Amino acid sequence: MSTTKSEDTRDAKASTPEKILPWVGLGARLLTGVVWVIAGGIKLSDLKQSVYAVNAYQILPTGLARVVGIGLPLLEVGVGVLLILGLATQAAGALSTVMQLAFIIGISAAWARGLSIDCGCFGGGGQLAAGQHPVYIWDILRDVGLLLCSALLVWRPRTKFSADQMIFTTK
Amino acid sequence: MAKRYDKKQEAARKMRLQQQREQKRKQFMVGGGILAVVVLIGAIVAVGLYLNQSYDINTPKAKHSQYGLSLGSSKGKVKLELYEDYMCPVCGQFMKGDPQNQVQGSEDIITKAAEEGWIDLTYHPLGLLDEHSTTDYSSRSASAAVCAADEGQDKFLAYTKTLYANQPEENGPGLTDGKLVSLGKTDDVGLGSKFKKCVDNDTYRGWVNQMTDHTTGKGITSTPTIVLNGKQLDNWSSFYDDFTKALKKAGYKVK
Repeated sequence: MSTTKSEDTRDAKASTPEKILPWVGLGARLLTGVVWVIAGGIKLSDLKQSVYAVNAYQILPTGLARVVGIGLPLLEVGVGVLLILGLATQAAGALSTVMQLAFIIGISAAWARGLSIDCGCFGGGGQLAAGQHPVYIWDILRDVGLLLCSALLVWRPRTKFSADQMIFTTK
Repeated sequence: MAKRYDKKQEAARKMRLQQQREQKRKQFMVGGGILAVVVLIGAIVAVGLYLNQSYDINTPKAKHSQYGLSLGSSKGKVKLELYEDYMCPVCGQFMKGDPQNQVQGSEDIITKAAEEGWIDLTYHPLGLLDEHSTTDYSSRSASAAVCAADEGQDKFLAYTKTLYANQPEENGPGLTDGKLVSLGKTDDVGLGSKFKKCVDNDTYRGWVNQMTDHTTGKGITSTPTIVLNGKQLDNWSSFYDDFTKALKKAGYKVK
């Protein structure tokens, strides 16, 4: 009997952060998911503008920029919906991490080359008017925050109120 | 006895761990599968949207031949074909002139000859240089110009002059649709809300694209290209003299 008791205490000890993390994960999931859905949704409402925004980074050739300009908003909405539902959390979190990393690199590249553009993160985008100055650091900081949230979901995909939990938990 | 119990417990713990690992693996595979399905659906929708991006082909209300705007008068004795692109800096030089190199601008004499009915002018505003701006400025400005032509050749010619006067730099963002509209609404041009609607709806993007494809298909791939009385000029800088001569020869009082 004594051994069982000691095991219980071990479980209880281990579960202190394990109790909090699923709640933190829920927050990360909802925050990141909602941001993705909003950002992607705005872009979907004006795909022409989305393509121009990608063009403004002057990284991709025109044909590829067109593909990204149309494909990216869809991907954003898809990842966002998965995260909000908590479905395929780990995989969606991984893709979300990669996408944020790509954005951070893209914005940094624009900054380093002295381009004066709107990041087009939430629709809009393209060259800024004369006299307007880009503030890339805020875009980057926001994306770093979202990247950390996404990475957390890769590390600890078990979160509260998730579709994953409902599907996979065996009782 | 206690030892045996430990062993049993050890085995149970191992099994639980095994089960947990198994479940994690399953969850990972299924999660990856779900993500793959979502990405695939996104890709299919994206391809659909991509293919759907072609514009409707609306034929202009302005007088036009199959692939160009018909200006001047069909009774004009001098026949002129112009292929231009509002993004092309050399077209700007050709039309506005280049005082540094003592090149006479041609837009005034072309406008006069068209309005007097001396020439049978086919004007091709091409969308050739879309890759020289981040916003397809060539096609957008050309289709805006066709919108202007719908409201009369004087409007088209005045708008063309204004577009060249405000020509954006290459490889930049071009002018916005809003700017294209407000340039048309200036007193020099005098276009109104019908023009704005036409520009906002990308009305002639499809027609301009088709005209551009047709033109490059004929082997004309650079602008300005000028065909005077059926003969393509080797160099646009001789146009002013050649054109004046042709008008005089046809009996028109140029000066």
